[in-house]
Amino acid sequence: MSVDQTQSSSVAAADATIGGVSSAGVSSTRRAWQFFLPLVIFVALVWFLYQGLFLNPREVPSALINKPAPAFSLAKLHAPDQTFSPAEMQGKVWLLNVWGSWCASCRYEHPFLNDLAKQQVVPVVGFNWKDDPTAAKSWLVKYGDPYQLSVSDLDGRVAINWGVYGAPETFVIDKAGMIRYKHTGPIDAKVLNETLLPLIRDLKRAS
Amino acid sequence: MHLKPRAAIAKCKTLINTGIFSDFGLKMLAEWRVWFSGNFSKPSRAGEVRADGFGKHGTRTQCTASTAGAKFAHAAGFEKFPSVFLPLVRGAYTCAVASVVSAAFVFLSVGVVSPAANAQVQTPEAGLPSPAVAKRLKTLESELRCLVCQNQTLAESPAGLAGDLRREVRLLVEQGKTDAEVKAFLRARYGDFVLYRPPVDPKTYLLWFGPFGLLLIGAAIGWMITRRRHAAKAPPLTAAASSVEQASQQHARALLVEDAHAEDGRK
Repeated sequence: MSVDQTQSSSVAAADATIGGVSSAGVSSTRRAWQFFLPLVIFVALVWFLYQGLFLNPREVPSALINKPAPAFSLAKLHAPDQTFSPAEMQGKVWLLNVWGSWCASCRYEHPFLNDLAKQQVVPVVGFNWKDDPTAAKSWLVKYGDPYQLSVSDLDGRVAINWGVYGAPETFVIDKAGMIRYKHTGPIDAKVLNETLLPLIRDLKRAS
Repeated sequence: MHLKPRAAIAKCKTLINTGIFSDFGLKMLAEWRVWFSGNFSKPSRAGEVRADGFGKHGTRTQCTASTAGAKFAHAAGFEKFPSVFLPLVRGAYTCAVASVVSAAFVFLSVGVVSPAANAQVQTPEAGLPSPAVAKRLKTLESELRCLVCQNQTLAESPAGLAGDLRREVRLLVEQGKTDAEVKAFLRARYGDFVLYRPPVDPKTYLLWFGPFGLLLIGAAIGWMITRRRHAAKAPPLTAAASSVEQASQQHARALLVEDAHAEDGRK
């Protein structure tokens, strides 16, 4: 970009000379360029670096957006003899929330999930990741259970299929069983109201 | 300074049992942690507070080479601590464990089986792979990125997820999958990010060829500067030169010469 501008400025300067403009005029244009170009480049650089301050390098974009939700069949946390599979949610917009009783941020986002459950806008399935079922159950008793049901992924193999790399993570799945969105990190009121709920509303409206 | 092995073992055991590593010590610390985090620490921005190896705290705890210290810190729930304290606390733990372990090694000819010594052993994966598989795993794991400790390969990372992924990679290799298939498996789940060597496609052209582009631009600028310097060194015009020659030379120079230095030459 900078090279182009330098070249075009020199061409303009040369044309001006041929056109008979005084050499003083040429040099002032050139001086102006010499002064402003580095300034422009500097300002652009500062802008990019400033933007960089607000990026989260830990956030890995999901490779599964707009792809079918990976199938699984996992035991339910509260009824280990029964299994749940995402196919059962066909025709519904639903959330899959990855959590664990060992995960501090899950505790932070839990009140927001409880609120969401009270609103009854969307079923939330809990994905209890690499947790001790007993600890998980008492955790839900202690902090409330916003989940329609929870499944236990004891060895974490299903989580790998979902591209889970930490907890909490929240997937939004549409009626056709496609993953439409993934939120990495804890949900709060802002995420819920500005991102998840509008998206859920749109997906529910879509046939 | 001579210490009998038996006495040394006893000393180590007392240290371990009565010290901060005992159940009581851990519980006390955990209680204090809950009280502390409840009163002072507030989760800040999304992504920063994930204690499982995501946010600042978790990452520091899980993604460290000093597994011993990290394990104790983890057991005590230290990953939930405000980030300022974590390095200090973890450092203290690491030092303590290291001193106990090294004391054990210095004083004893036989290895002491203590919690501290055990803590340094990484979780063993069931059974040893065959040499051929092991060799392939070594190469593969060093080309795959751990999603939690993002500056470490799967081979290096002590994070829990890295262990799961290593197990998955080994399963795939033992099923007879090629290296490309294993990488495709992980790429389908975690994206290009999981590969330490990103693929060459339109999205990564800038990444792969950008440096060469910058080099070319640099070379072009260097060439222009050299040409300008060269032009500036040309002898000033003599009065004897004809007006036609003078005009054409001036034109030529206007194209070449750009800095104030060059203008001096034209006068």
